[in-house]
Amino acid sequence: MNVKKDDWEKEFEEWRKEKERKLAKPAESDEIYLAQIKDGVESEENKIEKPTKKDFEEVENAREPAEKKLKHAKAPKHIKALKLIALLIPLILCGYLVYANFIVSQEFEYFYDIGSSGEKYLVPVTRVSESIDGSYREMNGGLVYFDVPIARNAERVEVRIRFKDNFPEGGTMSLGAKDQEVWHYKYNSIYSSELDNLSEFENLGDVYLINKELPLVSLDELKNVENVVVATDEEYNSLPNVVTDYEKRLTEINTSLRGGHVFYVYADSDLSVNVKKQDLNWYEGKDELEIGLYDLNGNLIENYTIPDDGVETVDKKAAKIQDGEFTAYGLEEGVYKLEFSDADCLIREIETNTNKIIAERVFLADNEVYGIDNKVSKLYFESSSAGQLRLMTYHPAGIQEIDYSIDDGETKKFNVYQEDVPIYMDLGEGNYELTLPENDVLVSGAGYFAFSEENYFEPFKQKVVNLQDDMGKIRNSADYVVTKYKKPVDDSGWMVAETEFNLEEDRLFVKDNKLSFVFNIPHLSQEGYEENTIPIDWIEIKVYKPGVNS
Amino acid sequence: MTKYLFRGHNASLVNYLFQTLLVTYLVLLLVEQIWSGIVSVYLNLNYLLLIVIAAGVLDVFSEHPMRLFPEKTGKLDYIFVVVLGILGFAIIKYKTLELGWLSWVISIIAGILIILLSLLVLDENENN
Repeated sequence: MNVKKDDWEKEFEEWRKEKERKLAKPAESDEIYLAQIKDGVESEENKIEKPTKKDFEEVENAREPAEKKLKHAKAPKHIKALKLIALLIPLILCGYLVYANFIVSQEFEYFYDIGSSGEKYLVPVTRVSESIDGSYREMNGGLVYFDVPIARNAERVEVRIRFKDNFPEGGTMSLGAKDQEVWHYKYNSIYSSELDNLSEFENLGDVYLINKELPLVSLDELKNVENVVVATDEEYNSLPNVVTDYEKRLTEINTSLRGGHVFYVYADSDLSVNVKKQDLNWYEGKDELEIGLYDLNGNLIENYTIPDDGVETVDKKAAKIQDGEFTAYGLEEGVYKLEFSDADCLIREIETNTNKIIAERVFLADNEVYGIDNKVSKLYFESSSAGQLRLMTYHPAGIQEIDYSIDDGETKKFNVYQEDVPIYMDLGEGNYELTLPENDVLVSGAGYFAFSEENYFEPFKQKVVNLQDDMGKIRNSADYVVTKYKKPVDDSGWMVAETEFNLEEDRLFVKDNKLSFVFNIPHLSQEGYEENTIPIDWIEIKVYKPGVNS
Repeated sequence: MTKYLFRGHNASLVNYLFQTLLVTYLVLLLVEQIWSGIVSVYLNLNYLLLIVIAAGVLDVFSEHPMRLFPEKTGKLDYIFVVVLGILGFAIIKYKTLELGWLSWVISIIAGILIILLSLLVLDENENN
């Protein structure tokens, strides 16, 4: 029994000592233990096959096709079909746009219900009344604008307007389509009580026979009839004349002119044009003067723009004079059109190397009202038949007595006695020389004007004059009238007028897919006609775009 | 668990439709900007935009497959970015032609911005 007790005590003692030893050095035993684990892991790791660089490349190369395969391979047929249909959407849209733009002819219709309370089609709103009975509005300003969307490659625009006749006696209304980047419109008459009387004359298309001793001809045939007077509100080009006394010699025109002017010049081989411009700065904005030389088919040969003088605000102080010049080369001998754009400026001087230069109408401006000295101006023109000269001034400063002589005969006087109203001077056959002491007068209506006898020439085989809204004057001065004017049709107390513009022939200016139109109602620009506002119900516009085969 | 309107192949169809319509809309918008009226006269792009937005909303609420491996940026991506920059420059130059010298400044800066921002996006994708 004692032996067993001794063994147990011995064993306990050994266990105690071992326990104390372990408690005294625990880190050592952990390190040993961790080292044993690490060895074990490493030996297991060495048993695993490690991937090589080649393996990575193989996986990468296989990735994309695998992903694609995963994406598409399992898609059911109906999903594939629907995706194909989705893909057809852009193809169909593009196909339709190509077809609509370039292949098929189209007609676009726009209906502007002016009286509706929705969109306000006419601007500025201050020149148009509020909607009356939700049915129509009234135009109370001289110039009222609207825009029309124009498809690419469109050929012509037809416009129908429903309005009421509330015009004063002799009142007119025309519709203009913008034909230049600057403020410039090509006008078609849509109402004129005087032109309504044209229906009493025989006509062939747009040509009306006024002089019954002449034959009624078509527009094409008319161009070959010589020595006749054609009154027109259209772009009408007669056959040009050959001028025998033409010389390539310097001509200086020192008479100041205001705004847009159209000259005809006779030139051979080259033509130089030197212009001095002075801004008036009566209105805000840039005043750029564009000068263009065109052939008689309207093709631009050379052009130049004299920029603004840097004053874009209203400033009536005398502005600096700016120069501009160009030379056109390689011209065949003949008549050319020299056009000055309508800008808020004066043309102070024109210098050119031809002795033949005439203007359709002239706005003489050597007057203190334009901030320059008064200077006597002279005009020369030839009248082959009875007619009338139109003189118009817009300021009291332009009221004056002008001198004139016929065929170098005795000097007579004519009184421009009123502003803002055209004054007409009766003309007979003969060569006229006018002397205007005060200027500030717009002179037109007698054919062409030159600043000296030497400068004068007849550019065309026919005399082409502006069509005036006065049947008496038309009867007296014109042999033929060329106009697209159509008498408005009565429609339950309203009137429906229609007119047409050709985008290419009229060289209309379309910007940002839009064409600007303007109603020109002259009496509403004057005082005293507040009761003669023009009610307008609707505007219907048709834009025609030809196709490949039309 | 997220609730999706469309899952699996239907979701991929919606995503495909949205992408196709969006690209169509952007291309037509670009064409309209360059040749004004060539599209708008015949097709109101606002209607197409509404359809694109509707498809986009459906796509947002559809299941999108997780990409196991990120796309690698390659040479072609960089060339594409440069081409986009040049194209952007050309379009902006064309549209601001009337501004004169300012047009050059605006279009060059815009072109550079397009390239730099695109590179930034590419770089971010690669890091992710």
